[in-house]
Amino acid sequence: MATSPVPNSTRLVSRSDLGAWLRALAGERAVLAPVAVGGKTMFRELEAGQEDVVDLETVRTVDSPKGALLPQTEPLLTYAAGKGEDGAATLKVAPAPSSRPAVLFGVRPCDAAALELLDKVFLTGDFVDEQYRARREATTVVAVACPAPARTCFCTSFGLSPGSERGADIVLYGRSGPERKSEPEAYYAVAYTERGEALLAGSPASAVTEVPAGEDGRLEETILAFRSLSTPLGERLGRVDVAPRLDGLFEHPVWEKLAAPCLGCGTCTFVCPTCYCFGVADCGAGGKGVRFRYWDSCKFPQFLLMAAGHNPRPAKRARTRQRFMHKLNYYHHRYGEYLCVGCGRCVDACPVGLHLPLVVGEVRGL
Amino acid sequence: MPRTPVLDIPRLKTAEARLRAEAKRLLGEGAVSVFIGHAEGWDGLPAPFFATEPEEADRLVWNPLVAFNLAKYLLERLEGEGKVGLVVNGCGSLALDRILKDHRFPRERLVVVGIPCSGLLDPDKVLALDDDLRRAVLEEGRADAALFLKRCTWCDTPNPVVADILLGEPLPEEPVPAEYLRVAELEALTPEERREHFRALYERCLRCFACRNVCPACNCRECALDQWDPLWLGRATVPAEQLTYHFIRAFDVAGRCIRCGECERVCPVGLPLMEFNDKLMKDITELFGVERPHVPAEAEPLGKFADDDPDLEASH
Repeated sequence: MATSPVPNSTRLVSRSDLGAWLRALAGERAVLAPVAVGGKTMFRELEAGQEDVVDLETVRTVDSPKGALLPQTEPLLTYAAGKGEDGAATLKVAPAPSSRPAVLFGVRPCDAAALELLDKVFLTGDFVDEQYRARREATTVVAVACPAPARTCFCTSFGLSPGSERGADIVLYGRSGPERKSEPEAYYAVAYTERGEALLAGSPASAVTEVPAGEDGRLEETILAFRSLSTPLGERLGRVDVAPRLDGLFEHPVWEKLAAPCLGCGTCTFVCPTCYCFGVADCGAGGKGVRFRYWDSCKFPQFLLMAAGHNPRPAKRARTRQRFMHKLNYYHHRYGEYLCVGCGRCVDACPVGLHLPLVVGEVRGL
Repeated sequence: MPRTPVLDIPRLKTAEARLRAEAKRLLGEGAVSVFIGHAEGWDGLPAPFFATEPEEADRLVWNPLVAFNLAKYLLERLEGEGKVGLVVNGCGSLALDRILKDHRFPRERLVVVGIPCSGLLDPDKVLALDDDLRRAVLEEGRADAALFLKRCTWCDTPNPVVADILLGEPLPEEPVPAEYLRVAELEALTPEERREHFRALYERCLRCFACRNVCPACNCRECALDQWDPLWLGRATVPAEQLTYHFIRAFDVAGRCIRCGECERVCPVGLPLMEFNDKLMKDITELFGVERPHVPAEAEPLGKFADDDPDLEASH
């Protein structure tokens, strides 16, 4: 599945020049990258001065970068009701202001691949989500290959790897390869798309330099080394293959058993790079306000609660089934692949150990 | 001085064997229709477990990693006739007592198996150890103080305060002077600094509600924060709503927090949520003279009405 790097589109960035590169990228663009927030690493839009403290070493940010394309709270439009000169009611509706172009920097390959899974939902089929499309087209994704996958990583269970380029415009590969003890002194910056090429071409030559002649072999070996890395949980889980098995399991008692410990919080869905469900609400008074969308979670009992009081999924069993059937069966039926990239966040974050690898294991054992 | 928790592996192993036998007996005799405990889950970590058949009792575990308090699951068992079996240690029994004192589950439908507890480990910290070290900790009990759950360092309730069946000898109980170290830092801030402190803190909250859902004191039939009409909490994750969420959460459990720290432990973004709870507990101690505000009592300072309340006099 490895695509060859686009010819003439690889550069070298030394670690000490990363800050200068990010400063050059900022300005017109918003630059989002992993930084330390209260003892954890999270994606944030960089403020001036933060370019030098971007964290490319922590394997997994707490939050996924999906918020750059699907913000947790996102204005959709503003409205104002009034009266015209003839006394007739009027309604002014204005679209939300367009967002700035963005660079999503330091994304792990699993998270970059997740963006393509979101694209299928928001950009294909009968309805294209224009607001998502505008953000997506204005966003350049710079991924960074993982040197040491974490204990709970399993991207390889979905055909990805710690060096895969899916969903990324550029991938940074540590020049010293995955076998290392300290931060790499330099990265190969390999562009895989025209957008990525353009970003490299427009970067200052002082920070983003030519790869020395004769280093092509080393470059290819390095990329291959990252792509050949195994993932600890992926080794245990193997390729995920349960979609056909789940076809007949909608009413199976296994969902009751799996759901029993679920706390009904939204942690798994909110840290997940591929969960995209949202609600829409208005905030305003006196006939004026903002309509916005916000992340919602199928794990919340109120998720499907209707205005008239009916709740189609009143039981935990049904809500738990929904989350995993969506990822492992419904999405697969519609798009031919799974709605999971094996980032491992649910494994780390669920307070009661109810996560996708557990469900895959249970389903296989039925 | 914080308390020094102790990892007593032989004691835990003995308790585990007796717990399995007791749960098997209760299920076998039909004394309970379900027994709520922990079983080994993913990666050897205990996960909440609901045994309904006697043979399932053999899967119950009692080990250094059973950090999760189980009493909250009782709220899902309100409907139904049968009795519920539940295992608790000291802090688990405070969680249970919270729910009982709040009249959220009938005591007569419970069979409580209590186990005295000298200390438990933080599962996340243990999982982060390399294999050899983890084995030394879990099998030989060689655990650094830093590996214990935070709540174990201030625990003054090693023995269950609610139990029908006690497994093992009670442990000596000693008073642990309440130290609210982070509260002192909070109190030292000016109002402006404090506002900025909370704004910056809650900015990173994902509003996943894990802190609320794990909390035994958050046991309302319907949480106001889930309501749409009236809309107490707007769904937008903007600063005003973030503060609203956290202030309502903290004030709603004021006087009822059992100081288990589970809110902090399950928070995916690592918010120091106990800082606020501790401030309220410290205030209750200082204003009402309650020495152990985390221990549920029949009448609590913020939950009782007294004819001789000095504030009542002042309001006339």
